[in-house]
Amino acid sequence: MTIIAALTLVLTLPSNTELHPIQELTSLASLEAEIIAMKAPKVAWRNIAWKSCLLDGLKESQETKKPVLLWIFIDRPIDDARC
Amino acid sequence: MFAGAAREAVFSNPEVIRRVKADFVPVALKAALVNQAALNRPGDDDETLLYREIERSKPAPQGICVVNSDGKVLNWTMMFDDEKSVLAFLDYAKQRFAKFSDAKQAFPAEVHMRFPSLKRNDVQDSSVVLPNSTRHPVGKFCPGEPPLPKGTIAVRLFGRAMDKSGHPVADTLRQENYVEDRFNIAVEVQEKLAKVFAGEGEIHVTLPLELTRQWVKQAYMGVLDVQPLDNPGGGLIGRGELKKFDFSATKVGKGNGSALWRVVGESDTFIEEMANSGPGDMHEVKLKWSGFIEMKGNRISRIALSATGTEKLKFNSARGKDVNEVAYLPGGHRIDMDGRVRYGFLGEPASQPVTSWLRLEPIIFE
Repeated sequence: MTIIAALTLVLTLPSNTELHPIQELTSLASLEAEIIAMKAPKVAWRNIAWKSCLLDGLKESQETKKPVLLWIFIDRPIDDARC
Repeated sequence: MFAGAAREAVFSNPEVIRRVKADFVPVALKAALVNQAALNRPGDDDETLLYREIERSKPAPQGICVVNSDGKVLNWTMMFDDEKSVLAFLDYAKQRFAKFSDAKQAFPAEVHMRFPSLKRNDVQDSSVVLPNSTRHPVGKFCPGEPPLPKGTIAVRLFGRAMDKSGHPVADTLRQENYVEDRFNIAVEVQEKLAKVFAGEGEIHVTLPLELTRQWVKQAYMGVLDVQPLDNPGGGLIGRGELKKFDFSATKVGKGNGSALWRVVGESDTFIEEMANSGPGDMHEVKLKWSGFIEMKGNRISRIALSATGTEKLKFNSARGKDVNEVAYLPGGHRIDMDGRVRYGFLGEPASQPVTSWLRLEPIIFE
């Protein structure tokens, strides 16, 4: 682990650190940092900022004089990022 | 399936991204919002009327559509002949918008199953005057982002396929290599967990199925259709086999109204019959789990979980190599993966502002 990563772990420790044995909390903070690091910083499909509100889209269309591109996809019981 | 394929094959193309950002207002709508508008219920508000106008000309329950500033449909398509046809569709829709930018004159909706070669009959203008709504009625939330019940835990999930040297596969376009997802832990499930944790003298407990089954159900690579547990195909499609399922927690700290529990677990899921699957398709996920749950009272205040193991996924196996994915968006592409995977879950109360950890730059580990 780099020094920067280690410093970041310390900085990301929650304010209630004293509540739990320090070893466990460090493990929790380490785990959280590892999981954050799993997120890819740049993926191609995040380049388009899709609105989720039809009314917002139509309003912007009227203001910018641009057509609205609707991507209509099957709904699922939860608000998916997976598709 | 359609959404995943469209995201990979259409909306990740750099030139498509450039044109969409420059020339269009991009809006992603859940199909249920459009399709349910057709029900024509009394008391429907202006927004429902707008959804109904979009629904009126749809070729299928999902697709790509261009509407003008008054919400009138200019063009629909489900697929494209080839990659050049995607750009041609955008150009064509833009030309039609220049002619019919509002609802002052009647015009038909042009509908393609595949643009430009497979066209259906135009859908004539309804002559209905659409409402010019720019905000939701007072007291109503946006149907695109319904609020969560107070106390719900919002969990973000990241999944990575690992290469032979143990590093994440570099490709983040395909969901069999990289996945982001989200799900919620309901208040009722948290309260059940709190009861288990509160058992007299309990320091080591078996975690409730309602909680852990949800974790296992979400931990898989690939598109929605390949979910190994409770597959979205439903009906005759199998629910998936839970070959191994064992989760427990040990209390490792407490104080000031909160308690920290260390979680360990193991899971093994398997399914052969998935939505839109065919001969030779299967999905198997074997994981070992570890992590923490922090409780405050009878609610989860923080959760972090990691799962590592192996995954084997075969989908669309009967098909040959994909050469023209934009022409087969509803079917998705062929998947043949077999290797190591890692998942990470992070959760906190949904009532808090968008989590700070989502905005953090990733940390590079050596």
